[in-house]
Amino acid sequence: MTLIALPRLRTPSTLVLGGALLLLIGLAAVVGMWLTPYDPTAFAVRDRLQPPSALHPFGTDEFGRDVLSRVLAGAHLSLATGFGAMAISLVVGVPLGLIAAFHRGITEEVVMRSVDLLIALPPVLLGLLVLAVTPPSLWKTVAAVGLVYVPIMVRLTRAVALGLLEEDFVQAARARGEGAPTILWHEILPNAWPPIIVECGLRVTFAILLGSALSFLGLGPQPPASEWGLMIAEGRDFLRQAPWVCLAPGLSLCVLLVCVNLVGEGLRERLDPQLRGRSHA
Amino acid sequence: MGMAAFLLRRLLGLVGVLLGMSLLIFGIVHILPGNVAYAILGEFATPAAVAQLEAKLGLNDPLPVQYWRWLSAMLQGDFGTSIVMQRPAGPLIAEALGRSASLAVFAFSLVAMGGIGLGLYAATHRGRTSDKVLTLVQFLLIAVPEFFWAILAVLVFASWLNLLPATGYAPLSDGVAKWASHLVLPVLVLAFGLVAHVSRLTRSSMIEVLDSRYVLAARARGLAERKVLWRHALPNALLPAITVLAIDAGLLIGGIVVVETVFAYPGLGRLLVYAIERHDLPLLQVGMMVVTAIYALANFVAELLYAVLNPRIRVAGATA
Amino acid sequence: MSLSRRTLIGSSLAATVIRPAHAAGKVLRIGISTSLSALDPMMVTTGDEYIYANLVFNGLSRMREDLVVEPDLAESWTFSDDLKQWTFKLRRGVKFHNGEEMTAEDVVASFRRLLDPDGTSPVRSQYDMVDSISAPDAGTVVFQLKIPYGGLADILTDRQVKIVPRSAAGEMATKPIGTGPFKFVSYTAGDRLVLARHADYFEAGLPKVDGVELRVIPEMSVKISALQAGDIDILWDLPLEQVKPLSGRSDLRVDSVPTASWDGAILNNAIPPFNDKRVRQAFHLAVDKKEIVELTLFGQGVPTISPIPPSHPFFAKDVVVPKSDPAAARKLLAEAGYPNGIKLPVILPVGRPVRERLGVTLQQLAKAGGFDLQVQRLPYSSFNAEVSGKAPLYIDGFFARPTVDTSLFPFLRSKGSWNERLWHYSDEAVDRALDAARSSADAAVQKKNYIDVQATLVANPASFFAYSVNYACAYRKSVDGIKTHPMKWFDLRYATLS
Repeated sequence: MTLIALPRLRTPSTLVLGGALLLLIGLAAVVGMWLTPYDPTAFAVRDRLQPPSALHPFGTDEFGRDVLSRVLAGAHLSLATGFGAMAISLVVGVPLGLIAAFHRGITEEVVMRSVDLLIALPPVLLGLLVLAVTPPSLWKTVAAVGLVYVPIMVRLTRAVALGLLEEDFVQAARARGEGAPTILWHEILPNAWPPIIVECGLRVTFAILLGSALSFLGLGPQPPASEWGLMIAEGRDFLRQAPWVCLAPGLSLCVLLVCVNLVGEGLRERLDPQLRGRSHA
Repeated sequence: MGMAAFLLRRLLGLVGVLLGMSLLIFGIVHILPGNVAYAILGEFATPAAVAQLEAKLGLNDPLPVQYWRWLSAMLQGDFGTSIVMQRPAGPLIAEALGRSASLAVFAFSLVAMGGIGLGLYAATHRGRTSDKVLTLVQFLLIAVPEFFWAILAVLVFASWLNLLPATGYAPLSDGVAKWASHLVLPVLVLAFGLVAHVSRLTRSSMIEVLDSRYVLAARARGLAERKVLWRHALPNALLPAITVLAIDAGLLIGGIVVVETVFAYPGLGRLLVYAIERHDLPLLQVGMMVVTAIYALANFVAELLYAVLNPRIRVAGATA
Repeated sequence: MSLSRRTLIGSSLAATVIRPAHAAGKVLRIGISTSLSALDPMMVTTGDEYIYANLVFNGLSRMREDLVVEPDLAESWTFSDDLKQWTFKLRRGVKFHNGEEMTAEDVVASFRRLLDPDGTSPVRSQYDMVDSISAPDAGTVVFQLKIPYGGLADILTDRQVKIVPRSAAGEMATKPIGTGPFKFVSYTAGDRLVLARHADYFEAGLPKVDGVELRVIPEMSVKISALQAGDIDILWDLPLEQVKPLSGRSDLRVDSVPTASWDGAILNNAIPPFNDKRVRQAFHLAVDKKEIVELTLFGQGVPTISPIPPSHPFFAKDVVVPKSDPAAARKLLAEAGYPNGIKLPVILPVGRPVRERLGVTLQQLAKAGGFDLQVQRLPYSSFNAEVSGKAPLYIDGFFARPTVDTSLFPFLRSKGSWNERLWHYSDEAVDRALDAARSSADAAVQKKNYIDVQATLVANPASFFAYSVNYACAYRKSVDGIKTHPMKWFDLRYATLS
């Protein structure tokens, strides 16, 4: 689960191409929630496990449900996981990082040591554990994935803020006697955005990957929902007879990830050329 | 702050993380829904049998007592007993760890050699068709989730080609060829994403070095291109790649859980998923502890390497 | 914290020492799905473990593929007129795998271990009727029962009541020893269980193959490839959707046999909404069991009324079951106080594909009858503690049991052990019929009473027994001498490999 730096000259085109494709997928996801060729949960015993055809471009699954309709109806779930988890890590992680940077001492120790602790658990295991405690559902997957990425966001924000705190304009604000909230909100945050936005782009990719992996392991949205990871897991039993049941959602997932990756890459090139070449574990 | 102080601080941090982790794992494991006694008795559990078994297993003691019993036993090398399999957890985990390690070692070597090799190739063939193709391939490798790679591999190799034993494991005593054939697919799937990662980084840092004044000067002195590459450019370009490799060792552990599940490879990841499914708490606790310890160690080594190679971090680390 | 080096080295050494050189000769390889957990026969609880228990151990009696009970370690048995005293004459000269001779003392010790109130055998309650057991001489065992019970020899065919040597009873979990046709060699969790031919097996000339290996291969597509490639000889418990596609292959033999294993939706009679008989009836009217069999089992099963399968002579084939009628279901729901239908969760076990499919099928089909079900999947390990007796509706199923009495009585009799845990059903007519059937040894009396039970269940449903499910197995044509056993274990004494 990693990301690469594209050659620098392509910057605008990756962003534009990725953005356009992502918009298209988003549109398909929104439309897919209401408008699908068939009812994505309706059974058709006589049409089960049919190969792709003009009637069913992606074939049908073990209940005779139209796979294309199910892929469309499930698109918003993957998007929700990606962007939802990113939002959670942003909303929780950025304030914590800022506070840790500003209030050195005991506050910082508590925040940063908790972060160390959370980061020491492999993400998949942390997700597995969190979801084993409670019955799975979409929002819990989103929360679990978001939680996994909070520490990374905290570390990044803190590092960026620490650098900014040394800058003259912040020192000047301090000299003027401005309070912590004002300094953080008006001086630090506006200047800390570029690396944070770049990080967000990365997080969306990872969140979609991790979310679909958890869902594949049975810890996401529940049937008859058609989350792509879940569809792949359900299709495994029929891999030999009807590979399309697995392949359609799997390839869709790949396309989505390529698009998000392109956008993240474009953002990175655009906003923070110095970040190129740095690791993003 | 000197290197020794930095090291000491980091070591203390590591111990703290491990202790905190033991508390966290114990806590999470004990609020898992389900009940050990029910898990052992299966569909035959009666309330009386459950109560009796719980008493026998010491599950009615207060949690702090159970935690201390667990921690002190573990420090003395007693890893407890898998209650579902009724066997000592230590050897079970050691065996599984050994099998996971052979996956990890091969995957990691592949990542190191393949990643750096491809990165160097791409950097020295910058802008040519082969570089562009590599970029595209790497891009795709990264965008495919591990579990989907695994399913594709099963589909293609086991179902269509009948080539490799797509899943499972064969002990070395079955012969080297058989043992190795079971490793090929999981190792490849584990390595795919990371190879791309490392090669991209190697490529960009190599390009940076090749464009640097230092290399230009060497070329100007009339040194052979081969010598410029191997003697001057490569060592400088490798530094960032090596640190990234250390970080990727940590990522590999996460990937192993998924890959072992799909390939039915009897390693540590699968043992943990089994422990979660069968509610085997002693096994789960110790297994999680071992995995996090390895993960924390990998992070620790990564941090050390980074600090050694890039002294500026040490200052930042001191304030972290 | 890390593993000490000594632990690591020690275990790797141990592994090399224990792992045997591969037995030459004909070894039958069977592909199974999950790792075995328990090796102690009295602790086995899963289908994969049952296969093992029946290869390594013997009971006093055994069940043939046609469900007829025949002598095993016992040569013959008699019972008193009041059905409370049973005397078993043992076969003599039977050797355990460790060379010791099996005597009545071993039988007594095996049963005392199983019935030990401080022991942990999960099946102890199934033998509650046993008061005492004694060995008047080395070749005779006497059971004293608390109640008249006609089916003792039948239930002694079950998976957990196996005879082990009293000298080694404490080591069953790691070094199991029995009298069976195959002896335990080694076991690697997640990989394989290796068994070798027992040379001193009491039936001369048997078994015919040199060994058996149970290979753990969870991924079905891989298991099928392994069967086609000849890496395994038998594929145990073939998924029902594969029966038709594989039947046409010339190198394979595919068997699909009816069993008494059943799946169903567990309706909790103690809490709303299913505490109302009308709601239970409505659920039965809402869906068509034939359609469920087609969707869930790909046609490999039969709708049923109770755990008695339609293949059994006691099945009530003349009792009329109302046809599915969603409109009538909604009407009943309205009468019961749910004019807008009922919305409630249905819990499915993760990783049991057939039962998951049953849940998804019900979720979709029951909509028309006014049931709006939300699927929730949970790990099966949390079912007993979190779901049974607490959730109003969930999907579960049970393996076939050796007799009709053991399949019905604990489940449907008021205060029956399973009844108390699953659905809290109580019906006087059912109680009377179940009591009458078990205290008679006359098949005609039993049949009449069991048909009464089924008729009552149609009028006053306890729970939703969806179907009796088929059991399928695929064999390479090189394998011969094996009949597919409806109890889902294997009798490999006559198996050959060409």
